[in-house]
Amino acid sequence: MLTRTTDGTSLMSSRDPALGPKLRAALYLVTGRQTVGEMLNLAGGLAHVLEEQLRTLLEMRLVVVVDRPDGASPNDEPLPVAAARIQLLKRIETSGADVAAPAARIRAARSLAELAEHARAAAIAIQQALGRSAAEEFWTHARAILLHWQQRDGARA
Amino acid sequence: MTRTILAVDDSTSMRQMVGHVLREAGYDVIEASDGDEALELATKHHVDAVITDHNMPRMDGLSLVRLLRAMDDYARTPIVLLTTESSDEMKQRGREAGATGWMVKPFDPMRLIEMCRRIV
Repeated sequence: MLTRTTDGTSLMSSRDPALGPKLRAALYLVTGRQTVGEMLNLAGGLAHVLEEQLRTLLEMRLVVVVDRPDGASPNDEPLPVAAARIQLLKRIETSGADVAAPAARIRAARSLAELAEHARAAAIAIQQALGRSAAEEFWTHARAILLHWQQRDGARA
Repeated sequence: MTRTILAVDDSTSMRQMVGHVLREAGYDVIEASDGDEALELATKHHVDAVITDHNMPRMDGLSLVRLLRAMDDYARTPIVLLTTESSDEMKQRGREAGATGWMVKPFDPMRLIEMCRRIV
């Protein structure tokens, strides 16, 4: 979970133009009540943009990582995994297939490799439910999502 | 004190129409062409209400509502969806996202003003 530093709150309250409009919007989203995954989920198709903005805010020390009040530690989870998971679940939702079991396994996955495995299972389930064309469409998008975040993860490492 | 309304629509003519109606009614209006730009403006200016289209490029209206609702400054700000979508399912999704109201296009200018006077 992220929260604003004193400098971050000060810059936000003064609506300081020096911060730039996109970073300021991202700073407004950091309230200390939502996990990074929840924020990326809200951003939908712009999740990758928000992720980059949050990373910049961290580097600028305008936000910091804090533990969740309930003691859980979502910060252990890399952002690419959280973002890829959200996008895969959205693709499943878009397909219209009722594939609850693979979706649940995607929610529980903790690495890009696990996500890839369960996305493949989801594609098979979609094929059984809706046919080959729907499954191929899902898998094309899923593969692009996984490759994108794998490359980003690799670049960061 | 003049109230400021953020009008969001990817259609320039629709945005100008909403802006004209509300300015004539005495509001300050700032305009954004999609949800992404709306977020930038909402964090740059103090906004008393948001009137937004749903179907827009880059970020749609429902996503904009959810993101604004996640911000402390906009947790209780009136947000109205002004859209051609009129199904009960979409209205329900709007309520779940945190929208205050729903208005279907083409809109009656007087109804828009009445709604703004009621919520702002």
